[in-house]
Amino acid sequence: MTDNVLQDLLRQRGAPGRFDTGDALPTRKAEQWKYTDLKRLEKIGWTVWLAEDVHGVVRPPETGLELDGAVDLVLVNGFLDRDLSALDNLPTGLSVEAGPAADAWGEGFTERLSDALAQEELTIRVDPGRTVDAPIHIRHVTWGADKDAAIAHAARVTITVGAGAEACIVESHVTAEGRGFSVPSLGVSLDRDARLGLYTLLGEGAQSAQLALSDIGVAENAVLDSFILSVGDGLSRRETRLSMAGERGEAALSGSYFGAGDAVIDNTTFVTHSAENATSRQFFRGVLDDHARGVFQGKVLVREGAQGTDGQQQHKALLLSRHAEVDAKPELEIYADDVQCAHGATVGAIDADQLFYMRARGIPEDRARAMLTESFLIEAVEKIARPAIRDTFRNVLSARLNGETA
Amino acid sequence: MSLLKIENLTAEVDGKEILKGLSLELNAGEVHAIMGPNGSGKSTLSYVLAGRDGYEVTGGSVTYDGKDLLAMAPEERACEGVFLAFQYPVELPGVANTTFLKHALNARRKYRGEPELDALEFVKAVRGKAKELNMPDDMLKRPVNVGFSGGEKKRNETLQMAVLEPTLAILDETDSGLDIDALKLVSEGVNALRKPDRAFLVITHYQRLLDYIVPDKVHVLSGGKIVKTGDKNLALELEKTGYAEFSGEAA
Ligand SMILES: Nc1ncnc2c1ncn2[C@@H]1O[C@H](COP(=O)(O)OP(=O)(O)OP(=O)(O)O)[C@@H](O)[C@H]1O
Ligand SMILES: [Mg+2]
Repeated sequence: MTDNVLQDLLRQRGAPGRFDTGDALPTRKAEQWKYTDLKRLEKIGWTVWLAEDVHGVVRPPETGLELDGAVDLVLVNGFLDRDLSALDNLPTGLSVEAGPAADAWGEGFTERLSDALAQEELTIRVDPGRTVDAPIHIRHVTWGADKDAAIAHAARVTITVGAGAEACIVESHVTAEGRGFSVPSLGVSLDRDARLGLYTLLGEGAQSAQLALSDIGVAENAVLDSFILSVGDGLSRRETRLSMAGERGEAALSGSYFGAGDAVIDNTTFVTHSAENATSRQFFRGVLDDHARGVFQGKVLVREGAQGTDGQQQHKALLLSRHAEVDAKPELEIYADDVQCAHGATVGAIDADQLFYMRARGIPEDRARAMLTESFLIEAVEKIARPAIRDTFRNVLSARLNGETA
Repeated sequence: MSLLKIENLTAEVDGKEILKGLSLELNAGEVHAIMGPNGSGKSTLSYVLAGRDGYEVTGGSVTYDGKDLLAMAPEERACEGVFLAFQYPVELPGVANTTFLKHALNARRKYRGEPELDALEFVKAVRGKAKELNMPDDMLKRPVNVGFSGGEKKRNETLQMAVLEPTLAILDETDSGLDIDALKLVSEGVNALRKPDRAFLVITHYQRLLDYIVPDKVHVLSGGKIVKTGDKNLALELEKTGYAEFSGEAA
């Protein structure tokens, strides 16, 4: 192996073209990777997870997102584990299939990496006009047989919500054993008048790295409500591309993240408005402690003709330590004239007046800090439209923060 | 023995001396009022007593209940029974009023080795007190002070005081911004708490409050010092004469 393990990985899987010998990983010189350094990935000898040879062996870790009556779909290292998944009595209107991933090569580093690693594709369909009440929980688990295993894998999930259909999907990404380098890709399409709730937890372990991609299309009158909670201890990047290509489509893209230790948490979004009167709302809150780094790159592109676009973007971060860092780059690019777009990004520390007020009421300083941190992050959780999911995420976040401050 | 003894206290903010040798003694069971011109150091005194960062004590001492108050962290002072009703109560977005109160009360109970209250006991304890102050239930659920009107914030401070049952309560212009009815309710709240082992330091600009909460003593704070002390009639006098008499010393 050369010193560039990722290159090797790609070659091993036969990725054509640009990843041939001599090519480099994206460095921080590349615009999209300016703030997130992938060097930590290069030192580890990753093994590509090739065969779907574990079934019913892995115990998916508790995530706190276990919802009553949910349809569980467990993916171990990117492969559907049929023994652990509830495939037998799927609700009417819902279909789930796993098959070989299509052999295609996308543009861009993450796509190609995902293309190189993905072997199986999970297809979830909600039939037109159907409402699936039970939440569908896609449980992504990294599992490496022992602590030292270093597994590279890429789950691929495609979700189609038919015209006028409604569903609620919860995704969790956690590590059961070992360390993972995962490049999960998610393709979502909401047909006209469809409604989808899409709620994600990124919580891989400290030794793991995740470069997640999601590509979401919202058609005419369709409504997407989405939220991402990033609390992984390693490197986790989620790149979301949202296409508002149907008139009067609505999409909420919210997220909270909390990074401690050496965590790197990167939320990169790219929202394209190409139809009239569509709405997109991005609302992110992040808190970084210790040496953690946060990245928020959010771009809203309004194409010519996308009149009446309402595109809002807000990112606020709180730094709890002098060594923590956050880089935020909000961007608006507008080619239509009748639009309402705004973005805002602020970074600050815990408010001294608030802290004093709480202490003056007897609340110990560390508890007061924890409460302020939590309430700050909860602001984004509150954006979740479905009350039961909102409560669940609130609890997951709270448990995570309290474990942190104990 | 005095509950609070401030001796020759000097303190500065951002390198500027604000308290310039302030002395004051307050016995348990008493109510003292502090009046004085804008900018004379009344809030500064209250912050110094509560332990706010950035208010540096450069000399003198404060003894509370026989202990060195200045050596304690703000939360410790609170748990020891010191309560400051803020002139400008702080908003805490995302922190529900009840959650806040519960944490505050339980922190104090824990400090004293008392068992923490569970949610139900707590709600019972707070509801009654909120009702007495004419505070609707929804104000308890809302985030602390967020979107509260000026008067509502002051009532909320009074509620916190009623729940936390302090030994020494410092009220910094709690009457400002209250309507006539609220002023009565808040005063009643204070009077209900008056007990032989409690004391109040009431900072106000208005003699009117002192008709409801009758003080044992009235102090005039000017230029960072107590320049005059009298009984409740001093407040009436000041109402007529203003602070002109003390302006020389304030310079
Ligand atoms: N950070 C600061 N830097 C410099 N001066 C300050 C600072 N904070 C307060 N001061 C000054 O300290 C003085 C005392 O302020 P303080 O708030 O204690 O007055 P006060 O008596 O409570 O007035 P009021 O009746 O208006 O409430 C004022 O002159 C104020 O400008
Ligand atoms: Mg004042």
